[in-house]
Amino acid sequence: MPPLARGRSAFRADEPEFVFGQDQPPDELSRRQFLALSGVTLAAASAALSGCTRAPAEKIVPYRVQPSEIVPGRPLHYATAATWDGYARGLLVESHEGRPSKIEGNPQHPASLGASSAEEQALLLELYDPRRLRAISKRGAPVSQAELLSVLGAAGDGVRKGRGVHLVLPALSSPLVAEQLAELALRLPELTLHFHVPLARRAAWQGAKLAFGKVLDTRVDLRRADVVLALDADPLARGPNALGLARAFAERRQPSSRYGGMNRLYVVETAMSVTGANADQRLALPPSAISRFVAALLRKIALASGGEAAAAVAQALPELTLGDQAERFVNSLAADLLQHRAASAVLVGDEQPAEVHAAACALNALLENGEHVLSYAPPVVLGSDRDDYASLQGLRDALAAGSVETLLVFDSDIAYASAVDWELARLLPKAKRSVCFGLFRTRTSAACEFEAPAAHVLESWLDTRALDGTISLVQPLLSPLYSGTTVSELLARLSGDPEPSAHDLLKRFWQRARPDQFDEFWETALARGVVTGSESATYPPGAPSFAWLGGLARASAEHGIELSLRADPRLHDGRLGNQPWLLELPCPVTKLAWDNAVWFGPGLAQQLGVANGDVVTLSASGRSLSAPALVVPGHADGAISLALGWGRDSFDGTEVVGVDAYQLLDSTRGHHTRVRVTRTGRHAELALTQDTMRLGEGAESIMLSRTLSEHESQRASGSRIKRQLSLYSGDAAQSPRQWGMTIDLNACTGCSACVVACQAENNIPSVGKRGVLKHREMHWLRIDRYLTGSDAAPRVLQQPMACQHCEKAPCEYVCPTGATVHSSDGLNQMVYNRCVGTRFCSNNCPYKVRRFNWFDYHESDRSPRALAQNPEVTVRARGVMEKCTYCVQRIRTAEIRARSSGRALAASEVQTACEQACPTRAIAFGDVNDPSSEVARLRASDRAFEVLAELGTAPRTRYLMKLTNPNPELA
Amino acid sequence: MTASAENGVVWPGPDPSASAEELALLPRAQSDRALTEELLNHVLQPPPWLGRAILVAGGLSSVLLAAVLYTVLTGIGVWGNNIPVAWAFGITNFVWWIGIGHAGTFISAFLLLLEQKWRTSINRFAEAMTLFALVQAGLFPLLHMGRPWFFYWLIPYPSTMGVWPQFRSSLTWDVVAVSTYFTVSLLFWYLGLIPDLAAVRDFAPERWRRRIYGVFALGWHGSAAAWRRHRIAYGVLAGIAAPLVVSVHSIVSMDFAIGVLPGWHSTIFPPYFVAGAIYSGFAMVLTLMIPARRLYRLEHVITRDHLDKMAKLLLVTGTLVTYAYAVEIYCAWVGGDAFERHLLLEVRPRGPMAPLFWLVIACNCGSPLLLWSRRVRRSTLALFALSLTIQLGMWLERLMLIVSSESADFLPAIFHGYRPTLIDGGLLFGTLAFFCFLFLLFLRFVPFIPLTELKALEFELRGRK
Repeated sequence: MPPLARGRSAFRADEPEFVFGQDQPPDELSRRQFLALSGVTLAAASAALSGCTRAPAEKIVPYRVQPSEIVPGRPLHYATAATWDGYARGLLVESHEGRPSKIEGNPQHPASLGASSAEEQALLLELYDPRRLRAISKRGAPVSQAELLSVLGAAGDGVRKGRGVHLVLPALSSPLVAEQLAELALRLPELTLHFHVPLARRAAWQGAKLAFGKVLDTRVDLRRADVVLALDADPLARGPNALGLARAFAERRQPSSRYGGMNRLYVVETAMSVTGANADQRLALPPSAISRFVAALLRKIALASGGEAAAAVAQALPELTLGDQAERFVNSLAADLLQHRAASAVLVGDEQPAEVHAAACALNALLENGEHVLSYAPPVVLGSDRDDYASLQGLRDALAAGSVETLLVFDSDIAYASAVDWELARLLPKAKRSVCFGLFRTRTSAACEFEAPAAHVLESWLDTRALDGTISLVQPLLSPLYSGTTVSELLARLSGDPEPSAHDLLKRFWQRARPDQFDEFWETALARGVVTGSESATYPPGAPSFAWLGGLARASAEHGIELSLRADPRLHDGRLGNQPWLLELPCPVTKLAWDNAVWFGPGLAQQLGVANGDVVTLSASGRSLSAPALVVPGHADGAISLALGWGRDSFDGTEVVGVDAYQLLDSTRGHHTRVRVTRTGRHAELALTQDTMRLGEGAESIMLSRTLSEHESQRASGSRIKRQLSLYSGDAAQSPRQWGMTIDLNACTGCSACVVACQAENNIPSVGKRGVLKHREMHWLRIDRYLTGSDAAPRVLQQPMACQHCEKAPCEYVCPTGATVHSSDGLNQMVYNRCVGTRFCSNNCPYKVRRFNWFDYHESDRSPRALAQNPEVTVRARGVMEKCTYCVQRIRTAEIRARSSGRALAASEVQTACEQACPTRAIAFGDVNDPSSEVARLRASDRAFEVLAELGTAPRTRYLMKLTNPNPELA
Repeated sequence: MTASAENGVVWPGPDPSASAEELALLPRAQSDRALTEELLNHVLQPPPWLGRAILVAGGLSSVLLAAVLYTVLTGIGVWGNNIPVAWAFGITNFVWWIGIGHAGTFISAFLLLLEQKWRTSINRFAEAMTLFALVQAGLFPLLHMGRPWFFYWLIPYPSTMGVWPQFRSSLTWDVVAVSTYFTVSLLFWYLGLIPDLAAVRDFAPERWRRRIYGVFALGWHGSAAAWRRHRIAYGVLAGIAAPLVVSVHSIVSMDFAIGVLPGWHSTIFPPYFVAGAIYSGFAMVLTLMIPARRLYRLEHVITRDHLDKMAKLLLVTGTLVTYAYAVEIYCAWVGGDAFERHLLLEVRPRGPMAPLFWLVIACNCGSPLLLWSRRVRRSTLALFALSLTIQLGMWLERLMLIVSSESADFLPAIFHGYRPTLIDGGLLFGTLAFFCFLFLLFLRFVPFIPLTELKALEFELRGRK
């Protein structure tokens, strides 16, 4: 007879009724956990009320904005540094009661100069990312730390000398890590160390080695260069010193710069880049033609310079034919470079082969671009002298041979961001034991045995070095949210330290390095964010060798369309791949968000019958990839390009964004390969925030651009930009202080750092791909882009566009509830509470800078990401309008601070978020009534104009006309 | 004109000058009794199809309910609107429905004041249409708000927050204009209805019906004094309603005209909008009247002459609208404003919205030209088709006007098109269904041909029988 009921008798009495991790998924709360957590929460809440925060246990030292006592409730700023590809960029992080809320550049840091890029801003979102790894797990199941420690202990066992242990580190320049690695090499001599750097500067270093016999980094001072040539390089937006270079470049764009007149920028590149968009003369060439171009240029310069070089070059390099257009370009360029001997700079992109870099070294040497413009120094990056730097071929071979006992991967997604022929995704499980430390679950960590959380940069103690060698101490803003490990702690553990602390490791290291007055050194270094006087010495390179010339301009016998695999201008190598701020940032060149598309030149697109959004398949040596096409004016025909860093695996069920171009990256071919392009007949929707637009009728009232000579002749003839006159004076009660902004279009490179800085400062939501497709992106500040000239060789005009704070604002009189009004100090204000959302203001805004909360964008944000929000700025609810406020919260904070200390507000005291982030200082903000302010001076400039002035809106933001300096010979 | 005095009321006597044309408005001489019986019968013994039609229309109206609920609960993002096209279907529907209403008031008030006899058979019909169109129209300004629950902030009331609406905005004028219009239209309609409601009360066989209609008849007994006051009040209300025909749509047009956008910022808008409103309204009257006339066998009350006169008015207003289009384009062409030229000479006729533009021209300027033909004017089928075409054309015109200006105003970098969503379509469809539902209820419960006025007209034309 069957039992009548299967009740409790099914359980054995000695078994616990509920087994954690078996009867329910571990990420769901059991009753017991819930009670335990409630207790903890209660305790934490009472702790928080008594003033306790997540501040690190050790003492960290605030950056002194103002050397006075700390005021409770006022945010503090801490200096620290981020490391990109091994090079440091100084940060200044705003912290509200122990909660980092905004990242700025550190003005004292040479690679930042106070500016920041979109990537730095996005670090904040990364810190609070809800997808971060929270616990140690083994094959997906949570395990105790002890289990992981036993694996690490076995790997670091001195007796076994590290045999079969492979350690993969990201690019680092930390002096502490350098010492730890040296110690480790003594303790575990058979440990194999690999560096995983998807976008390494290896070609540049090897190029210098070819030319000068030593691996060297190039440092440039663009302020001293009259003529700049960028060869497939994007110095204004990429590279270890992009922010510094952009600043220096912009300084020399001013007709009256104190370093000399306006410079001239030549760009020869395949895909349009931020630098290319700012070129005075630009030539689009497929990748293979670029080395031919360099060869031709080198030949001309060498022959003109005479001497040994002329002989060597004449012997090794044949006369090359380039085609009419390129020929004309190279002739004029050579003449211009020769004319500006010792005041020019030739820069090459990292994706170019070593020979092209060597040619650039030779060109700079022949042009006598000495130390004041261009200097060399051994790279600060660890392992840069290794021939196999950034190559994982060794790891691949070891994995394939089954000789990997323990694989330790720190903060590197080697299975994703690496050449596809290394097949690491397939081979990783061959490691007998493997541990992956990281911030997120990645393709690598998913394939490893153990997954363990790593510490975020804002949770870490470390040190790092900038391109020029300047050392920064990395201090944490809060103790690790998820008990993450730093690289120094991992290395210390391998060296046998049972309980390493990143803070103590760093402090002890520097105590040994700077025994005299250590405490003072430590405090100062932490407070300033840089170690003063730590720049590394330059290396006098001597005369270049020409032995490598045979490798330059090798003709390729291959067929197919050339594919250039580029670094993405936003996502870099994909490290920050899934941060919505970056995904939603429109590409500075194409205005495409939430996708990476295959870029086609207009000619090639027409030839192949490809239009925007057509999905094409790229295939090369048995591998293929399908991606939507995008026609980019100014892209070289005969080649296509695709950005790396997209298409990261999604482990939380969200859609994969973009396509993974690493699938076509072959270590034997580098970033340039040849592919077959076939149309699939499918169509994908591209989230373009702006179409490719030309200024038609009325162009002059939107955008002013002149060549330098036109501008000078106009100035000489006394003609002025027309200003609107009015019979009426303003009717609002006027306060003596009137805020205003100027944006110098001549300095703006279109890099879009300001867009993300604004988003971070003002709690602006991301709306996702579907939102962008519906044209509902919320950016208060956008960068309008217009093209002039032909599609094959367009000129790009960029115009940052945010609320113009019109004195006679068309939005104000149409609001039925008076929700948008003018303040007495000249701000066009939005009263969110009073807004009912008729959107009439947006319709009537000629600049269309108002943004509407179509849904409750913040409601669903119950993740830690909400912690990234600025407590000084209202989070807007559904159904209300919003727009640029000129960072009113910063204005009021500064005013209150000045008033409470009984002094007048200084002219430069208020910086808007966009102004602060801008690498080129294109944006100036201040009191227009204060004649000493920068903004008042610029408003009166003969280049200043108002957009759509004829509408009589009297905008408070004025633009400074863009100037270009084309070579008259090429006009 | 002779007059007879009876019970103290001066009735206009039979008009010896009544022309054959006027007589044709009531082709069949009928006694008061016969007229009463025939017309009240529609209410007392409704045709069998009516109940089913009401059910169907009511069922379809649930689409509106669902779409409204979804919009209010989720957010306006469920519509296709974007930045720059912040207004689209919502405001188009609002302007269109308001415009439809205008013909009703025009027929009942304007033509009353102008002593046009042909209005009599159709005025109640038209007024009801006005009211129900206003109900639909009123929905959209509420729904299109981001936070519709704060709609009352547009109404001037002594708020504890100490704030008033911002009276420089035409949206606050809209609130005043539309609410006034609705109130006056309702009063005017109801006032005209009172004697007829009393007639239903008097003729209804069942007690409960007599009770209900008795309540709505407000104790009307048809005394001479009451008739006198009724006619005075009716005249006064007509006098108030008539300027509203002009003012309401003028103010609605200012929602656009006070803006700075090319294609909106134009002084021609008020007359242009009024003409367009009456144009589409007449078309709607025809759309409703032609089937009703057929279904209720009212060819002798709503004659072909009525249709012919309506068609002539369509032709007049259609020509006015065509003229406005031409002037708009001409002004842009000679005006020299680059942005206006771009919009009116490039974007609309040649841009991505060109099919819309040319469809509008075909519907609103081309199709009424057929009305020059007397045969078309007197063909119910042709008129019905034309009325639908013109309404479609007028709806598309508003859509084109609103969307094209927003999508291509000044800075080319943010030019962007518009694609409606299912919810947008659902709201439009839902209001159409709800309008039909209300109208069918009206046919069911209210004497929709003004009984007393018709009898008076009969008396006027043929004298007392």
